[in-house]
Amino acid sequence: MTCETTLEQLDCVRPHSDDLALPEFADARAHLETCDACRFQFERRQRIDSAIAHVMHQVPVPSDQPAKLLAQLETAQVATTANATRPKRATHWRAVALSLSLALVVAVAMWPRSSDQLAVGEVLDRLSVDVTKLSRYDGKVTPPKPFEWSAINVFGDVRGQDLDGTPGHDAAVRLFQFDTRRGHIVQGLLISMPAQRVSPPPAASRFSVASPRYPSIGEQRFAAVTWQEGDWVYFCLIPDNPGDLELLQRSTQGVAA
Amino acid sequence: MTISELVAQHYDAVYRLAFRLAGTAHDAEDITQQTFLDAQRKLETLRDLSSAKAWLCMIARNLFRRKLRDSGPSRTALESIPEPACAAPPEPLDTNSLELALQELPTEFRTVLVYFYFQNLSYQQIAEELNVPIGTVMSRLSRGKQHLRQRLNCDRFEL
Repeated sequence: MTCETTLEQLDCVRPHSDDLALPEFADARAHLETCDACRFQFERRQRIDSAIAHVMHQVPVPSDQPAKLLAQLETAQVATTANATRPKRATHWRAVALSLSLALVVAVAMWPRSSDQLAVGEVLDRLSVDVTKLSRYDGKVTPPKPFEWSAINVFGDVRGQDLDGTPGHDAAVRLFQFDTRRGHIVQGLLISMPAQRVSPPPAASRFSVASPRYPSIGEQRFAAVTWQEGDWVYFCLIPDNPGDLELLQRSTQGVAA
Repeated sequence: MTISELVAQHYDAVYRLAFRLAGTAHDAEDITQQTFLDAQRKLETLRDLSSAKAWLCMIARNLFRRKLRDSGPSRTALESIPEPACAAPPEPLDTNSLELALQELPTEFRTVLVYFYFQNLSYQQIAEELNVPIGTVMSRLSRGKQHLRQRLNCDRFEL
């Protein structure tokens, strides 16, 4: 083994370790025993490696970052409290409602129960109920999943809301969750209403191109979009973070049903 | 252990690793933040608290590799980095000099060196983690360390 190849191989030996005793370095060890120059160089390079390793750890850490991170973690924890267990459990509904602090009322009369119509803005203005108090949806037809939402997990029981005082539910309310590639989770509510109950109808015919608005519901701000597909008008509401809505819309562009 | 305790105990270590891998404070903060967000989601999988730091560092390394993958392959060859015009006077080995020397390196060489020096991984562990042949890791270690020694003028040091 030449001096050059010996020293190259010994570059893999970690300082202050037993690496040199490994079988793959047997030839290099034998060379060191007979070559003073290489032994000198190897020992010197080990000291250099120790110095570099020491300096490598000398990175100043921004002092404000841990506190910012803790705040972000707390927000994430609040938003995903119900996701600490599997999302299809019934307890998820209560946990999400508590963590998101939603208050919703969706004014919808299921066909053929009522012919009252509401504008989109009116629907959003009337949102004021605690989701945990919603009972199972009793409408005749369960709204289908929106066209571009094949990758979005709409889960749990379909809940219903009576909004006009007449017997029966007028709107279907469901939770959804989307896992981004980076591990970020977007959660929110999907509300569905018969199209004939909303007038004028939303301009958008697809989720991904609907223009956002930012209503306040209760004491919380939301990012919301509305669109119509066939016989249904959909409302997607995401609490707090407009970026999440934008992310979700981008993720669904071009997605087939 | 709570996530807050993990942050309190290991934020600095994770940030430093992320900084050495990514090379910029912005990317380091991004990787560190995502590391702890991921850790929070997977906290129940951490069984042995004594391995919390190693676990967090592994998450950070995975995130860095994913980031690299998403940004496409590095095209810089080590040979393309010019030699200094003249021999610089010997400087003390300090973090600024090391940082400059590391930033000159192509990502694949810098990554190997950070794993070696910062994480104290063996060359076999590095090969396994990066999913590259052992010979490739040995070559990158040797050439990368040679580059550092030249840039840091370590031959002039009495160590």
